[in-house]
Amino acid sequence: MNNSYAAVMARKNEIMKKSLLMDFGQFEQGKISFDYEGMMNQYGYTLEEIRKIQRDAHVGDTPLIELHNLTRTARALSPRGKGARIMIKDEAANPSGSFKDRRASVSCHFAQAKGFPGVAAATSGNYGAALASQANIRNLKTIIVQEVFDSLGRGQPEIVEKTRKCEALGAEVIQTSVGPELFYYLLRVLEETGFFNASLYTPLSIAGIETIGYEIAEQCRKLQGGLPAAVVITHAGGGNVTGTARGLRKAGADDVRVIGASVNLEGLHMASDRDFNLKSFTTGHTGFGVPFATWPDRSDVPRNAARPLRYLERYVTVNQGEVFYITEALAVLEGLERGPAGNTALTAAFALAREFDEDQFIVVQETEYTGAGKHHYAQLAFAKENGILVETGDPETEVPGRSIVFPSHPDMIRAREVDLDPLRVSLIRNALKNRSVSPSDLSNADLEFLAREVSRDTPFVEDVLKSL
Amino acid sequence: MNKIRKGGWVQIEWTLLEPWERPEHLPPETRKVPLRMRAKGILQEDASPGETARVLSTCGRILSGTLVAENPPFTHSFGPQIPEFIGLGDSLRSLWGNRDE
Repeated sequence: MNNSYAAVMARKNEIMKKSLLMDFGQFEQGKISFDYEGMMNQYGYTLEEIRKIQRDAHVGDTPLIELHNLTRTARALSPRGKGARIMIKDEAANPSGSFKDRRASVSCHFAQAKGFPGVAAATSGNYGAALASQANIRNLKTIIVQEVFDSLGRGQPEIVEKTRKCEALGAEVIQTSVGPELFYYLLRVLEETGFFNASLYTPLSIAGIETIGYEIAEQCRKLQGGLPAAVVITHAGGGNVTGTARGLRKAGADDVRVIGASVNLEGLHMASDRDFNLKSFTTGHTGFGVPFATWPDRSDVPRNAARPLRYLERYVTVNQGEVFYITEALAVLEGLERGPAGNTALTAAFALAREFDEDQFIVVQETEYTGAGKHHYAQLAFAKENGILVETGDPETEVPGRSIVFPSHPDMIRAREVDLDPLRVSLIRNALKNRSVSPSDLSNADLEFLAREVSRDTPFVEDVLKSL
Repeated sequence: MNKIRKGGWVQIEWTLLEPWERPEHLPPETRKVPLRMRAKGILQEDASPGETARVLSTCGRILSGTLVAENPPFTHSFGPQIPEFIGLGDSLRSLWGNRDE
């Protein structure tokens, strides 16, 4: 068989069909539209069934913790009457230490039920360990393809830890140097092994996250007597936002504001061999957050089930130094030592709490485990080795890849608003460009689809089309 | 170099794509270097580091590449404490004042 890059990529759709038991072509509708909800329901699991699958695999039902001391600190910095209480969903309590177990659980259940011998995914994040952990429960083998090191062979410590954890859970790990072609290798693995494609972006993966939003609504109603004013979600590939928001809606919590938060890594290119080890965050950052919001179908499946602009009501960024600072504060004020990337939304929430009234509360929907390599001390040591200036001062002066600035006062921590409209325009432009369609080719169904894609009405889409 | 015996748990490394085989849209600094791969497995024949070797992977695949080392340890760590953060808890608590929680 011809395994050249071009030949394997040309077989992508065929490999997808076999490895996902899903023909994405069946959902295609107009020139650019597809039946999103039809795709989401294709595997046929109800939310209640997914909760049962997760309970059987020790996933979910994680504690919702009130952060009294961080709240008290945010209030001390707020105008009178402001300073919402901050709660956090302790997703580190899942078997492999992150919310990613929810994503892996349904894929592994499906793969086992359909008789696949194993599961495979390309991921450099917590998802690898989650997949290996869930696969073990289901007696499936696991192959994880990870982007770990640069052309000098230097591994990013956070990802090296993820290799270790996958191997500790018995997975086969294939490490790669910097480049998006790890997906090419994954396709070869899927073809060679006949394993299930446990992509992060399938409907199964997103359905697995819906339980987090549902649990938040349920726990808040039970423990707090009502719903939070907002749920703050660390945003990278879009799955976390999409799944959580869908779960909230399924729980009838439509009025809860959905706020995404990413670490600002502006100026650092995700596929750059040079920039790779200048990033102190390997996920939860704008390098994934913005491109995946504006073109979800860049993912490793033909149609991405994670479509964040359908659900995001606000999107904010925080800086690396601020997240490290709040990670430390979480440990010393609340006694919770948790991984830094998962604290992106918490950092935003610390700033946002000051806008909300003190009789309101907001929920941060995840934590993640910490450990050697991914601990904030490890990442800061690595940043210094790479010549990055680490200092205390005004976070506004931080330049990703050059400096990390801890706030000299917590008052300086900001959730910087990202205007969603330019991202919406960008999605519409990309939808046309990537399918080589001009505005005049679009049907009414396409216009309505684009409106849903950006959570706006059709006149908004028509205005954008005129301006292109 | 000492020979590693058949049956040892080893790491190998190989080139998956040469620079000219990589997609055009990559940043130039990425496209000028090959895409390198590393994996571990059970060594199939005696070999020395630097030689080409075959391994049996955890999932039963035969992979071949340059033998790197026998069972290389993980060396990632927690790093030192961050002096800027010493006393952060006290300094944040000192902001609280008399206002109710």
